[in-house]
Amino acid sequence: MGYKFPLGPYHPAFEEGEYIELELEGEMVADAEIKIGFIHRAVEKSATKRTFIKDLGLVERTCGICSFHHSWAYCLAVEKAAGLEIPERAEYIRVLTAELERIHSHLMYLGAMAHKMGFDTLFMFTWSGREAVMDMLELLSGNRVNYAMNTIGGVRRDIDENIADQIRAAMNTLEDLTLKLKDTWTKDASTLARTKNVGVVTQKEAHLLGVVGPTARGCGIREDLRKTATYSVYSSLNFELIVLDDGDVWSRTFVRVLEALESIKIIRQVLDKIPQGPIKNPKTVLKIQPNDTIGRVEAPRGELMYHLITDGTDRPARLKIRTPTLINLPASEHMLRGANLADAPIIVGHIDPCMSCMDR
Amino acid sequence: MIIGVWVLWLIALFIWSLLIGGIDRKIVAHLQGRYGPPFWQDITDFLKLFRKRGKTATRSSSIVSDVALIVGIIAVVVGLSILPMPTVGGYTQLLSTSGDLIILAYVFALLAIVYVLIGFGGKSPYTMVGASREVSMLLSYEIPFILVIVAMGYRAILLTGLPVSTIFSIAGFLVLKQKMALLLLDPIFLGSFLVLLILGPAIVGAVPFDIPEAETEIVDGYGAEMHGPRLGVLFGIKHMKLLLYAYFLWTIFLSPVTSNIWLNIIMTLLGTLLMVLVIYTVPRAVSGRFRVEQGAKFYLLGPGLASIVLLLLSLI
Repeated sequence: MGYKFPLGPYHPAFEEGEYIELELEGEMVADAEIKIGFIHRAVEKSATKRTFIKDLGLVERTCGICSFHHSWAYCLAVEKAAGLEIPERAEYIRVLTAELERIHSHLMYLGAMAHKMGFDTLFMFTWSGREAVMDMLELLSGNRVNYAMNTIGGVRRDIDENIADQIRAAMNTLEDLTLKLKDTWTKDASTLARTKNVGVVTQKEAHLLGVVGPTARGCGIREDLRKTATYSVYSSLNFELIVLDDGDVWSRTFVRVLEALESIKIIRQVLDKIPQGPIKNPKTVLKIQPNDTIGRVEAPRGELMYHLITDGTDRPARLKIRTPTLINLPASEHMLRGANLADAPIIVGHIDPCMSCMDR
Repeated sequence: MIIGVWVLWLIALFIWSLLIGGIDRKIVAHLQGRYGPPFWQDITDFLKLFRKRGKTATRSSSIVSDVALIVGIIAVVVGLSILPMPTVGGYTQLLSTSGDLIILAYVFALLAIVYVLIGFGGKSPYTMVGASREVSMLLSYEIPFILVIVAMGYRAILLTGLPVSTIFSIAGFLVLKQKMALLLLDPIFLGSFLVLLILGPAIVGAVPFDIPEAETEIVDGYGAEMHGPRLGVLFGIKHMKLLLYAYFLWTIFLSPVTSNIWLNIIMTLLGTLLMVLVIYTVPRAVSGRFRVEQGAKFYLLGPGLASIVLLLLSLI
């Protein structure tokens, strides 16, 4: 006979409020239902009450981990609506910050996954290494979490050669750490036992579920906006699109290890190629003519989309935020059915859900 | 007189078990690049739990958990009364009887059943799953555990010529240790020791086999509904179970017998700490947690088969 098993809304495996109601038969999950909305803050509605520039601070606080990508997607939508050109140096600085944020996010995710598996030494090792990238973000922006780097028409802070050198040195440290993580995630018996052949989704199923980001790429889907719908200066940078075909928790986790290495490669190129010039378009945006635009970026968790409608005033008429977690979460329900209870936190956690992003 | 000394020894061991818990946390913290809590943290935690108001969840059965905790305390006391206490001239058992080694094996099983009772008494999905996982793990490690004990007993008969009733007792092993310089030089005893070391994490509930507790899965499992003084008692029982198993391994296989009481006391305390480091600290620092069926499969196919081989070899 089946019984209900609650995961959340407050659970040691989850950092945020999320509630998954499992229907168990023994320890096998017969059915799963994920309930959302515990961290709703009315960000979209609040955005229509503030001016375009004040909304930057708001959208950046939609998420604590991918805050830069939120402000970037928002800026892309606003800049498109206002017809603003972005200086090339600003584009490079945006890519630099975005890739540092991607490494930070992926390392945080890998540590959290280790914690969910009860491997606290790997968790601590990963998170202590993550400090290097947090330090670089602080060096770059003055902040460890909400960087306030973006502004409409460019970025707010420039980098000099001293900062570039420190970031180069940090990349060497991070590369060593990530290679060790790569080794651990391919050789350690307990991590392999807990992630291989768990939550398997075929490529076809993944297409039907519409998953995005590393969750899709770990199912063999070649999808990364930086490559498939390139934006900013990504087309001038040399990096690999990481795709693994196994479709299990391990492959979707390991994609992130390899992506962190690619991000290090991108950052090195950015520091070498960054041109001289202004970091912001001097034109000030106050009011924007009626328009309907979209800003899309490849956030660490997948495609992040901002849909902006302007009506000629100094504030958005409507701002819709579509986060990767909202797209990937239904896939977790699919993966949970038939899984073992012990794997439930890992299956939910491995899509790297950001409930704050999703609930907005 | 002897009972009074034994009670003092019991209290000292209880405090030592809490200190060992703190030392373990400190060592793991340093392995993970953290400072960790002070080594007396578990004593502070234990005392703090008794200052908290005891509260029972509406659907939980406090009677079942209270009975289970009393049984747990009795099991710990019985276990420690069987294991020899350092005294002037060597070691002395408070309770010595033929087959007390088998009683000790049942003490470990009984402590696992205490956790099961606490889990079923909790009546929450987390505690119930924790209890059922404890049963699964008990079934998987208990078979090799008993087989190894039997193998050791038969090997001891072969080596000493003592009757069966004598050799399945701690006293019999103390006699055997006086005959052999180091028990581990014998391949059967060495194999048994290794199997018992491998069984250790499951018996004491350490990662990678802390499956019945699994904080990030079932929120501490069988003990999820315990708090206040009841959790304090459970906390104490868990520490004593760890110490009991370490004490058992140290006494049977490694402890040298000297006539100096202080040397015996120090060696017993340090020996138990060493065993705790091997069966508890190191595994939880270098591995993640397995699923219950992976744990059961591991114990039945690894130590399970090894224990059968050891038993067959001991009979030859």
